[in-house]
Amino acid sequence: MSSKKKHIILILVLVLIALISFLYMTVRNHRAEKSRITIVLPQNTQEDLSSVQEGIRDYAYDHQIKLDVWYKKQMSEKSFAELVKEEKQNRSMGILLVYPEFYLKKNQNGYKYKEVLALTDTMKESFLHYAAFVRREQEEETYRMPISETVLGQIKSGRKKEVYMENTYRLGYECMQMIEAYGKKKKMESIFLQPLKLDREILEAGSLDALLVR
Amino acid sequence: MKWKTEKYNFILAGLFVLMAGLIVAWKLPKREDCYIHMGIAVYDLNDTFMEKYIRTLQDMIEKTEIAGRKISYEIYNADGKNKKQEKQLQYMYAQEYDIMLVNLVEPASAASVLNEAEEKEIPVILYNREVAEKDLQIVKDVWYVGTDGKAAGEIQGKLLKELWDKQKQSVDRNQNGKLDYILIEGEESHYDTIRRTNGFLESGRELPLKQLGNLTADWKREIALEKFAKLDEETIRNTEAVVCNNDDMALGVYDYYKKHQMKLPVIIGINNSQEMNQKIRLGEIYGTVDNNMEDQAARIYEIMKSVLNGVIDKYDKIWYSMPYEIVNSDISEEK
Repeated sequence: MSSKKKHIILILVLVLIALISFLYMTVRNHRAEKSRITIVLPQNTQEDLSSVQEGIRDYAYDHQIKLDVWYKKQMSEKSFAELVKEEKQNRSMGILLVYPEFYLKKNQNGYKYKEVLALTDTMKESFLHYAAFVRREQEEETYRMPISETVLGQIKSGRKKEVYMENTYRLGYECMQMIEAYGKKKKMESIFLQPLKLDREILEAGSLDALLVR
Repeated sequence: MKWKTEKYNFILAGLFVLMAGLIVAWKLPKREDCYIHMGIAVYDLNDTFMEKYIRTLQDMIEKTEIAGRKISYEIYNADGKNKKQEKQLQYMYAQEYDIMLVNLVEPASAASVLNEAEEKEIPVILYNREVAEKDLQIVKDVWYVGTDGKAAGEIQGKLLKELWDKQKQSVDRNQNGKLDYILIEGEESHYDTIRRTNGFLESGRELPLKQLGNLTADWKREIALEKFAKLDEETIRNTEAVVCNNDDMALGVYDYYKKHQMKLPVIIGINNSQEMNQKIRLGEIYGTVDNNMEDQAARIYEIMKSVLNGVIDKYDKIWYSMPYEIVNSDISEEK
């Protein structure tokens, strides 16, 4: 074959490679697999989970994370083990149990899953890692987000001098952050959040408006 | 020259290998998700009808697998706030769901929701809060499941007429030969409000209706109570019937009469909520219209399964459940 012909073939092959690479990159970007985190929520609970869920959703949205969400009325030890196994197969980075006290029984030996983080009030000792609010020693009034208009009105009018607010939005957001970090570095830690002080001055400053306006 | 030819051959062979590698990588199958993913948007879970509706749907979905894949779903409660739902819809698009069930806070916003869903290739089943028919023609993969609002209103008129015909003497408390009533409507310019009201007014033409008041209470019990309490005493005293676009508002009126220990007028609602049903059975409230919510949920479930199995042409774009009356026979006989 003459070198001129080979030259033409070489150029054609290069053009083809460029075309295939372009198509490959386009399709791959379009189908890019998102990271995945599993969320287990209590079904039919009276607890207002809207702020926790908003924190979870905001993190997922900001960091392009896909959520496997499950609602549970009850979950036996066996079905919990199955869920952990199935989620591992589905390449989930970790599992966030939101208030497992509503659907999971306490286990004498605890649940020893490294990839599980429990957002809980009463089941801290059952998990290797958990997320919770630090309980205050003094007897201040503590409210959980979302705080009602009535309470906010009482603070504004001075009928309540100060209260403490458990920022469940931030707790949800930080839980997601922790699980994502575990997915990348295999390192999980418990999360402790201090309740935020709310008084008339803070309300008037407006710095917490984004959290308080429903 | 020979060296140059060998160099060409070498480069060509290398490039062919590279090209083959790229083609293989391109054609490699994507790792499949073990689950089906679904987003469910609800206008307000504090609405007792919607709460029951969603619970029924949940029970159906929990038991379902499509081609061996479980369904992971997330419920987005907008608390009746359009702005909140708009943000939630953005979360839903970002989750790239396989299907979305959407109960819009603001049905007039359907077109933008459907366009965005289509861009993300997400099929949508709109339910319960009716949108304009032309909006459903914008995209292919969209369906609406709801109830026939006009038929529900017509049943209210029919119930009232039956009672009037049987017990005119006891219903016409002030003996003026008219049926003095108050109409309590849902959200203003909402399709269901308009259709339910029109249905009632059309079927009530045969009655000597005299409207003492017309309130809008956004489907809510507490607003109905609040607005009813603002009516003047004489109007309330002369009220012989209260016709409401839904049960929650009817119960708000009931609350008013109980609070003031007054004799209840004839109250008619729509939805057949659990509490309303109990009060009808106890003989305190005359009747309501059951929107056949179970049939609606079953229809949504059928469409959902069909779409997830890849069959999209099987169902009509719009489907209504047939409402039916729930009435206390004792009241209708004795009142």
